[in-house]
This record gives sequence, C-alpha cells and structure tokens, in this order.
Amino acid sequence: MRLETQEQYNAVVFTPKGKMMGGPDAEKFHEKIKEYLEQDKKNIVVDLGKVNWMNSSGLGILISSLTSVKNAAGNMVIARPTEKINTLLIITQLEKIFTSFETLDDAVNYFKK
Amino acid sequence: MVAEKEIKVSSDPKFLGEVIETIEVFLSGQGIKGSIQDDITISVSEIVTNAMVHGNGLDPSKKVSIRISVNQVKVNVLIRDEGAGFDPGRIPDPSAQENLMKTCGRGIYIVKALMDEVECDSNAQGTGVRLLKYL
Repeated sequence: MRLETQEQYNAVVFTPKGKMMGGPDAEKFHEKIKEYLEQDKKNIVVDLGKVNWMNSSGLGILISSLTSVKNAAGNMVIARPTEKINTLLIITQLEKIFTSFETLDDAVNYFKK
Repeated sequence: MVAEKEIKVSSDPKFLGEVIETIEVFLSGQGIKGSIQDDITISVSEIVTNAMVHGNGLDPSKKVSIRISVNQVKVNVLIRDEGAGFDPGRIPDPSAQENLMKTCGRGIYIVKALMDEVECDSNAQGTGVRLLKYL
C-alpha cells in the first residue's frame, strides 16, 4: 500500500493506494494519523477510491484509526469505497460505525459545517 | 482439465503479499479475474494469516501450505498449518454490538460470506481449511 496525505480546507485527506492488508500498512497509516493528531488536525477523510483490495486487517486499520481520532475528540469519515469494500463493510456490519460518502468532495464538505 | 498450484511458506506475515500475488497470477492465467478473484484472494489472505498467527504461533520453522486447483466449474483451495489446532466454534461473532470496534476477529466471518463452501478440520497435528468457490 502507498499512502498520500493532503490537507483540503479544514480536513486532512488520507489516500491509500493498492492493497490494504495490515502489517507495515498499519504502521504507516497509524504513524500518519498520530502525526496529524499531534498537530491538532483532527478532521480526517480516508479516500478509499484507489484501494483495489482490502482484507480484515485493512478493516482493522480503519477501525483503530477511527478509535484514535475519536479519542482525540476528532472525527474520521470514509469516501469512495469500492463495491468490494462496501460489501465487506456490510458483511461485517461496520457500515454502522463508518460515515461514508460517495464522493471526496462530499466527505471534505462534511467538515466545512 | 485441472490446473494446480502449491505454495509453502514460513509463518511470517511478511510473506503474505507474495502468496496473494502468486495466487492472483495463477488465477488470472486461468481466466479468473475481477470480483471472483478478489473473493478468493481475500479469503486466502484471511486463512493464511490465521494459520501463521493462531495455528503456527508465528514460529518460522512451521510452514503453511496452500494448494489451489481450478477446473471449469470451481476453484478449490486447501490451506494447512502445523499448529496445535483450534476450535472454530469458539470464535466470537464479530458483528455483535460489543465486538464492532475490535480491530481483529473478522477473518473467518468474511471468508464464510465470500466463499461458497468452507470446511475446517482441526486436530493436534494442525488445521486444514478447504475453501470452494463456484465459477
């Protein structure tokens, strides 16, 4: 997995690319989350539009990131989940805990309110 | 006609990416792509991870073997570890409200949803999981 981050308005957009499968991917993701939380940047959008494959370890990365952000009194939403990722969210009922947007603009605008 | 591939790896999750890549190449070579390929590779990743971590206890001297075969109607995968076995009936339901925020424990649950058949045979010599997907 490659990971890019970019600040857009008052949100930070995380853009993982490729396969999201735990191990080094998790460390990379959590380090970046921690870095932004330490800078008091607590509005996180995870753009999943370029994640072409994810397993339960990838879901674990999203859950632990959400927990870290909420513990820091911030919020994290997801954007552009692929059909397969949506299927995984529905199977595991994680759709109940993630706020999800069909477009990146909608997700970024969520934090403009 | 049946095409087969066998892979054997040490119990170190750093090899998981290579395992998945090898299976992707094999399945693509058999014309199996897209959503069906993803269902199979996601499921294999879950079972191989369980085999390495829970079955073999991350002991690098213990191997995980993966045998995949394809014919015109189905894909069969057999994954075996060399661990002490486990009781699959004791895995808690990850979709229960109290487990939703847990970061792990969803692997088998996902595999059962993505594959058409899942069979598990666990004893003191190890655990074997057979996955079947109809094409």
